Amino acid sequence: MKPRVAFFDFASCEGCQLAVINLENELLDLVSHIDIVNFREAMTEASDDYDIAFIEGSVTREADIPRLKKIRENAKLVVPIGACACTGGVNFRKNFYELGEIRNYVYGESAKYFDTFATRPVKAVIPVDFEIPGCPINPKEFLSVVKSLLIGRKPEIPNHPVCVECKLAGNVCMYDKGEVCLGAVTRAGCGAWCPSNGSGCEGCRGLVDEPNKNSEKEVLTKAGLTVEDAVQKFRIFAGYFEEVKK
Amino acid sequence: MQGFLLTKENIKGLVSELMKSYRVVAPVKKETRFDFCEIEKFEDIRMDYDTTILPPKKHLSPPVETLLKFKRSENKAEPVFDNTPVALFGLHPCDIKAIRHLDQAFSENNNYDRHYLAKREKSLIIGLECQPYDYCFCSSVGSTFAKDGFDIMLTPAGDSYFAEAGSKKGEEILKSIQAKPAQESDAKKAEQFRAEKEKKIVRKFNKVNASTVKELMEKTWDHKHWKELEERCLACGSCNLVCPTCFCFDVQDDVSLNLNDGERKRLWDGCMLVDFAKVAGGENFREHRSQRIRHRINRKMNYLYDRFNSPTCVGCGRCVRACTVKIDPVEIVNELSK
Repeated sequence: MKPRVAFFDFASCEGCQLAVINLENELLDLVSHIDIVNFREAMTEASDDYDIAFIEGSVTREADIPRLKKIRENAKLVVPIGACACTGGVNFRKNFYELGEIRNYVYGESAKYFDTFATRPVKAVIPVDFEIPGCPINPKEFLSVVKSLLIGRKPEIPNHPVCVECKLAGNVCMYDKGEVCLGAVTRAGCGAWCPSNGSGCEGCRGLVDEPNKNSEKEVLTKAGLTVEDAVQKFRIFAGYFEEVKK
Repeated sequence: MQGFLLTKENIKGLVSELMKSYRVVAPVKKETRFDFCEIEKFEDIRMDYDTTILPPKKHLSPPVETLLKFKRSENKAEPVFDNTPVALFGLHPCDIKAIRHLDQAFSENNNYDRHYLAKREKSLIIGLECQPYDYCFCSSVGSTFAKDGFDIMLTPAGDSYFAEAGSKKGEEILKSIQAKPAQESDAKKAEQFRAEKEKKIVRKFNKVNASTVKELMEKTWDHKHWKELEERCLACGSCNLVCPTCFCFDVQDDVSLNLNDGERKRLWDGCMLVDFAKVAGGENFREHRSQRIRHRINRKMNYLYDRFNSPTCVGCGRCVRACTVKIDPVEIVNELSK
């Protein structure tokens, strides 16, 4: 029997799910191995009977918690996809402000209608089995995780920095071009997407294990950033990490 | 062996001759840097390049290389060899020596790496004598000049190039383009170019040399400098990945969407990366960055010395160039020998 797969979204732009839908050349092959039974962005039918749940988005409301717990109960495997689901993503930025203040700033007069609490990734609420980071996810990596699950192998998410993939691609280092790049402390897996297309890494996949915080700070300040700028740059995507929080 | 004198026009002729039977790879401009790329026309070649982003190794042992194809249903695998003839044009002496190291590593003790050797046996190396640039330090590791390891070696001699054949194949090619035999004065000009190169080398080990650096490494295992480097190093692996003599790789299997046809690939790996020495159960033999740097520098200056009869660092300076915090083997060795 084909595994039953569901997609869910919380606070997000839904771009990661769109990245899945965009796999137009692969979708037919994919659905010959899996049954997609719940995918609000792509289909009308919705079932609560599924084996694998891919979850996009961060948790930003009290009401998200019971919904997530239900998904965990229903699914054998829970796989958060994208920066929001894995590390809070850009939504995590609000945690650096006073909650009431940021709520008023965003929603203005209607703020009272919007319930919100400090942003957290999925794993802060329920146990997860694997994560596919990135903003958005790398569709190739998504496919590779799905294939690994289908043949019963542990999916491999790299534990080295973007520099590795950037070197393998033969790119000119962003610092050689006078640009700032967070690739040296950011988890690879994107195929050095941004540097390969002429833009420094923004750190969307989160930090590698044991990043050298002080040395990276030195690199960034030497490149012309103030310490405050450097911290703000990391907070776009990596505010969830202890090294960036303080 | 007899020398030839090649004018710029002759060099162009040489390249077009090569392009008839080889994929010609040469230094070309890439944004702010140079890189070894397959060329479409002679004019793309930059004879004045300083160094390249990646070493020419990438055309003999590519960053990602398919080793075999398999079918899960049949339990069968077929090896994949790429033996497209490639001419590596414009290699500096350090890179020529580095390829000699790779040749040895991929064939010694009857351990033949057929994937590397398939390409290497069909390859041609045309060297180009150089002048030092900001990061290199060849004289400290004994790779200033290439005496062998090339098919043809070109040394600037005035407006032309003094060409020597280093193999039968190289000699045949030089003869086929009807290059003019060199005069003694041409050989002298080439000799002068090399002498100037040697004079211009400023980045050096100040207390040890290519033969004694090994002993220094053995005495400095517990030196406090390794700990200092721990603070600076980002462990990004860039130094490994741009090194012409790093040949470690990781092997990964990838299966297509039909879940049956698959490929086994190897990818360049690096000992500076945290997972490199991690084993099943999670134990990491080189957990700290200081241990990994010490390993890398020893790997280049000490561990393989007896096997290769030389340091395996060739002093190309790519690692320093690529390092965002400028960790530098010359500074390390000089600090250790203080």
